[in-house]
Amino acid sequence: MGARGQRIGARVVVYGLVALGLVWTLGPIYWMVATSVKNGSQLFTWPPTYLPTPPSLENFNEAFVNRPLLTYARNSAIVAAVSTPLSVSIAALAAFGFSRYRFRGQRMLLFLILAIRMLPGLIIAMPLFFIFRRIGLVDNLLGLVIAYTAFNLPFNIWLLEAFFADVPQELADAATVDGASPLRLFLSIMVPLAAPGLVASAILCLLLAWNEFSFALILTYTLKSQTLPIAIAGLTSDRGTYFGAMAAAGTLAILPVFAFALFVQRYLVQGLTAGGVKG
Amino acid sequence: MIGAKATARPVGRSSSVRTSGRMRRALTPYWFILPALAVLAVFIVGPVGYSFWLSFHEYQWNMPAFGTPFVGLRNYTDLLKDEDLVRSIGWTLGFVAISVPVGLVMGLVLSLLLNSPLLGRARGLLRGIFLLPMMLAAVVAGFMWRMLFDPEYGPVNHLLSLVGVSPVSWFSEAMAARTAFIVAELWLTTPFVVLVLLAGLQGIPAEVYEAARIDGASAAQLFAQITLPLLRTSVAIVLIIRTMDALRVFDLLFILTRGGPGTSTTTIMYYDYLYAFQYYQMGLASAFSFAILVVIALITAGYLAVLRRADRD
Repeated sequence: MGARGQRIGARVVVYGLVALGLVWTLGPIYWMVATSVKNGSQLFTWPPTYLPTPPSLENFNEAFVNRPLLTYARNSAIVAAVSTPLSVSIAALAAFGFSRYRFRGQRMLLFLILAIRMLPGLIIAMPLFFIFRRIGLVDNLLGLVIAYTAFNLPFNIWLLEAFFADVPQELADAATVDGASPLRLFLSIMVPLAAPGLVASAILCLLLAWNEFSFALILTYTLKSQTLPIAIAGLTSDRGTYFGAMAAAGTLAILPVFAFALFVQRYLVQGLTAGGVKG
Repeated sequence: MIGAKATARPVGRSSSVRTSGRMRRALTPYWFILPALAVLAVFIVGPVGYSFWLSFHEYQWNMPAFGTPFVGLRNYTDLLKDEDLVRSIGWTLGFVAISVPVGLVMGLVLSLLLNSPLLGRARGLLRGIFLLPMMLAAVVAGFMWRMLFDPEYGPVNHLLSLVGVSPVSWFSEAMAARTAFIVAELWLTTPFVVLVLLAGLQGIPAEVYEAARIDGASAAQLFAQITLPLLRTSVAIVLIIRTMDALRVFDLLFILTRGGPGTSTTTIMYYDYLYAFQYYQMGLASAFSFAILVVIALITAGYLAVLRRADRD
């Protein structure tokens, strides 16, 4: 026994808990992906089919050929791709202003921005619907782009402010002494040095736009501008009949997210941590 | 571009060059934050302000001819008279009181696990995997759990039947639906807890542990006397942000239970949505939005206080 036995014991406990954690985390995802490749009869069996063999693509056919899910996905992609660079660049300018200068009203403005960040999307989306309705931005991709650009700003400002603040003040001072204008300083010094922060905030923006539900639910109502989450939600009301097609749509919805998680995990964790912990 | 405008801007009547230079410099930060403030003012503060205005008016918006007559505080007093609403506040608070602490404990266990040196090089990969749910759309997560809890064909009832539990109708009994909802919500949100606590754990210097070990501290003592106190700020952040998130939960609910059966899982945000888009009572919905907003502002202030204290420490 002794120290060696204790170490083995600790190992068993740790590995056992990790295995449990993996089942808990991956189980639901596995179930959806497995469901997406079940054929019509495997979907409704008792006991449930845990391993669909052979995998079938009929749900994908149903979702993407018979139903216009690719159009919803295209809407999602457009809104995410347009709102992200807009939101990140507007936020970067503001974050630079907040992190490099001291000015009157600064604390109050930062508090206001944080408070906005805490607002539930729905509370903004509901009145926005009535305003957009008057100016033709309801059920319009541009309306969603505007909404996401604005809604993601506070988060991006806080995140980028933390990254800009980490750039050593001496570098900024040196550039200013060399006669760089504030804009030069921002573009040639701050942006390159805070690049990981910009990447992190762009990734989070893409994810938020891709996953967003409340604004899309209220501001869109036809195929013209509805996004993938809305399509998935729409299929639920049909009382389970479309589990297969929904699983296929859900699988499509999580694919880009997983690609992100694999390739840019470092940025993502950095960004989420800075955004969550520093405010 | 904005910076260039700032330098090119004439500085009015100030005569001395030094004063004008200082004024220009004083204006510089405002030019940088101006675009963001303009967007926020027009598309966030404006609509919220409009909503505040609406909260003192009656706005039955499916009947435009009715207009928006001023009703004073009636919307606010009507809220309190709505028994369903009061019930939904009760359930939302109950849900927060269960989900937040349980999620904290689960997140603590997972983050300690992921911080364990016993995992060796697998740690990075495992972290990536355990964080996955927080990157998924709540809608997709809700759909996953709907399939899992499906009373007829779902694996949850099947696995329960293997240990002798008779099938549960997850979405037609209040307690069952609430349980299913809490489980799904924990699945979706615990990764955030792990993320914050893990960052906190990694911030504790290894020397602190070594010194305590040399002094003969047991694992339990290390945890209670070093880890927990040093995680204080992280735990506070988790509790505040999670409380806020749980209070405003909506997407997941929309897919999983739609507030049902009856109104047994209707949370405050879902009720707010129903007021506006089911009953077309935008005045009432706005009043309710504002009540929620005040609560959230108070929590935000608490959050800032925690961050300030953390900065000082």
